Amino acid sequence: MSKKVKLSLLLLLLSGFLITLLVSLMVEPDKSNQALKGASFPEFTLPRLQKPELQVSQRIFNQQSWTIVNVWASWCAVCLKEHDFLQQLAQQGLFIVGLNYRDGITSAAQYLADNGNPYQVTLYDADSRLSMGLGVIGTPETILVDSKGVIRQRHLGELNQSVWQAKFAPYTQGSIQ
Amino acid sequence: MVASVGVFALAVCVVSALLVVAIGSLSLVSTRQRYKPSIDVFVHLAFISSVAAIVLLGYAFVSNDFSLIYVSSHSNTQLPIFFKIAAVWGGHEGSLLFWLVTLAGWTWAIARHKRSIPDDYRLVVLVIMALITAIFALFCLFVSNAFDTNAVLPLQGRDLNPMLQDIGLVLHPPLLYIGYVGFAATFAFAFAALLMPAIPNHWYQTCRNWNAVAWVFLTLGIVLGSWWAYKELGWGGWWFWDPVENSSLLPWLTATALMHSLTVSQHRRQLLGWSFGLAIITFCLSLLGTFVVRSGVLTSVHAFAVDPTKGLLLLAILAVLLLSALAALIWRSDKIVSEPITGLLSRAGIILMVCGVLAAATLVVWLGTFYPMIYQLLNLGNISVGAPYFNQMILPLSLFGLALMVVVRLKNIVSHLIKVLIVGVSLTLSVGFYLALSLDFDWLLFFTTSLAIIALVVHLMPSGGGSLAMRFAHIGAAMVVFAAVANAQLSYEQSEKMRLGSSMVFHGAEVTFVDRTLHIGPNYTSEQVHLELVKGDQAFLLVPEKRHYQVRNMLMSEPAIKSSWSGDYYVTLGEKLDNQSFAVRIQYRAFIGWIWFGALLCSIAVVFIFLPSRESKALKQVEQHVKES
Amino acid sequence: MNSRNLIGALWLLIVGLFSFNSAAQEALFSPAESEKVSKVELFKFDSATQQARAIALAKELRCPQCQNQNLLESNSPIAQDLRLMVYQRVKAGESEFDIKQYMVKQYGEFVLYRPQVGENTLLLWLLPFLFVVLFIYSVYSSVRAGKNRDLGS
Repeated sequence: MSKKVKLSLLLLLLSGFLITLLVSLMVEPDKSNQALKGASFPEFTLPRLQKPELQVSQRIFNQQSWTIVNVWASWCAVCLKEHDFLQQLAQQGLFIVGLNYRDGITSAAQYLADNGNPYQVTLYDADSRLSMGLGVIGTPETILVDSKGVIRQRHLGELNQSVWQAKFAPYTQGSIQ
Repeated sequence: MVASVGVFALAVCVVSALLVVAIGSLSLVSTRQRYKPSIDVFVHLAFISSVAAIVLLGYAFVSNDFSLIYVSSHSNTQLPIFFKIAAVWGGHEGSLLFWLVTLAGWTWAIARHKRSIPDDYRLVVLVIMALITAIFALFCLFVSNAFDTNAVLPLQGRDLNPMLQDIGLVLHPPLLYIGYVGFAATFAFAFAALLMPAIPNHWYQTCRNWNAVAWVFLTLGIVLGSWWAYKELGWGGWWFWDPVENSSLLPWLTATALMHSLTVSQHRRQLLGWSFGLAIITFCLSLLGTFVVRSGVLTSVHAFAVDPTKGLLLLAILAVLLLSALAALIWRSDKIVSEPITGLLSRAGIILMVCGVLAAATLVVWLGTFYPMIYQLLNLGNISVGAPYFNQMILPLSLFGLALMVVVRLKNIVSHLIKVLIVGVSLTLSVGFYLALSLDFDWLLFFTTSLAIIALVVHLMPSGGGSLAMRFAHIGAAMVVFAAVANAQLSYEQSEKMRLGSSMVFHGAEVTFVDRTLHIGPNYTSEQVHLELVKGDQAFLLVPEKRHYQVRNMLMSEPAIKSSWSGDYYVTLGEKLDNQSFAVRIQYRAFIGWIWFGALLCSIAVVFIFLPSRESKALKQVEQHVKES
Repeated sequence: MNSRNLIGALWLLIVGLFSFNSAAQEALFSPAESEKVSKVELFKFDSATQQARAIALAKELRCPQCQNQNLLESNSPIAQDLRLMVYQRVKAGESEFDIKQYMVKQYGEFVLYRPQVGENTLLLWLLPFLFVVLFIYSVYSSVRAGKNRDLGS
């Protein structure tokens, strides 16, 4: 191989690398934790935030065809941004379970009092055991669980109309079982 | 007011740099091809205006001018003046302005070297440098302007990130940037040589000198960054293989290879292709590093938070420079004919292997850094490549490099007896080292220590030629390799709950909690724990702290370090348990001082290149005689 | 007011500041956090080698929520929880492989700093070796060519 050919090959390779850099600049990668998709939701028994004498377990998923689990905290700024959209979803009849993550009981209750409560059930994960078992890596996270208690979809980050349409609606509206 | 003058200074810089390019290019294409003195004027002007801009920015910080967005987001009235000045290069816009000043500065320095660089060649180099300067000046003026103003004047600034409030910040970025930008000169020298009608032979020597200066700055910058991370971050590590750190290592590796290849290129016209290629790629790697830090394509604790458009432009600059220089290399490649290498153990043969080792290391660091990004783009998922991968790959390469250092000296020694003697003595010393420090036997460490001692011995031996610079640089490098391995194998730690009066035993010393004080700093409050370490008949005090920075509401743990030749005692405060006691974590960081000492030795040794050697002194004497007779 | 009173007032102010701070922190996280953190920081191992193994393993695992830090470097709650879990499992005798597999099941491959050797990471692990082999070959052939030229001339 002559020198020119060798060097031209190098130029081609480096150009390819520059293009990958360009593409990675444009693309917004999905940082959601894709582990546990298709696996059963971890078993749990947790108290409800506002009625701590009541305990909730994973059997709650068997009571409706789709359950949304939303991981949130009162200190999480993005959670506040998606709060209105969650209210909309609740009004449309979707069953949303709130999972309070690494938060204080009083701050969490205050947050719901100030901003409204889209959750039919709010769970308080005191020792973060469920969050760890769920592989939660940040808030807000929205998880879709089917009636058999299997995790079908996860999204890390703000939940809005476009994300809902792209990732969750195909399941809840019946195009995917 | 400062803002408008600053913007004006930047504009002057842009215009001056562009004029240099214009006048220079014109005089190159015109038939007269004469070096115009007006170019010098504009080079000076570009430099002075960029310096003016950065001085103005410094003044804005010192005078608490919060009308500038950059000042209000990186400073605070309570910030000590020391750090206010350092904050100039603490954020994206300011650091880019610093790049600009350094670029203009190197250009100016090249323009001044009229005697050592011939006019026609110097002209081409200056045009290239001025073009790069102009691009960055335009960037500073239109895209990342440090002089942008706030719509509403805030009364107080956001304060400098507490992690950056350290002497390390004052020195690390400037040294790093001077190094990075110095490689622009290397690049310009190579590119200009390719564009000359006949490839000049003197460019190898010129490039070698300028590259050495840039290399020293980059090495010092990296070493300082490592030392700063060690004493600031609190977990006792000195290198994390973080993408931003790796970005500074990539050009360092190729620049080191270039330093070696240029020695044989200059004197024996060997490895010419390597010298060209390395000179081009080093600056491109500097640009890549700048891109990585600011674009957000790689996740890092060190990254500046900036939007993708700035990354896009930096990438465009990188692409243009890399592709045009490589194209020029391909175009002229037929004219670049090296003398052949006569044997594997010849000087050029060994240096070729050195370049190979460094190239392999560059490949490993580059691959590990960018693989996750490429993996994700190919929709294969999300993986991480971290310290375990890099350490595993770099270790054998480092040991091989150490072996090469030994081989290059041993082969000059003719007598086999002496060679055997050297190896024997070194092995004995190595064993003695183990016994003296009563260490557990570890094959890796024993092998590394022996190799390092052999390297030390052969480099200290007066016979066999070799410059002072080479000897001490290699000794320094051997120290670093040894210390890195020793630190990894021999360090350990212990954590205990301690309160006033309690004590624990660690590494042969008794550690007692003797006092607890509160302290108010200029922009923080801190709780200090005084620990007394008693080892044998020596006693010293270690005071780790927990600091709270009010403005940013950040809690930082400040380690306390006691250094000795064999290692550091490294103490940090953990969680505060029940108002009286703390979780105290003590680490023994073995031989860590040797890493920085070795690296510093390396840097200082390279400066020796510029001291007149015996040969050049003799030559000068001969010239003198000839002149007198 | 004499200097003693002044110092006393200052002391009260500082102590007050600190109490306020710790209170602010408690409002953020549940009281169990503080106790948990001390559990991981003061974790007692059965031997020094066991501790070294656990620390080495913690260094190979990435904190899932942080900007590129391993479990030892990060002080975020999730890193501390996971570090505690790793320490407990090492002490219980679990193998490094099993602990890593558990982490991968929860968080994905992302959490391993030493990528698993598989068809997708072939290039990552083999390219350096390939380069070295190719390089040795090219050095050998160029030295041979150099020698031949010498012999010829």
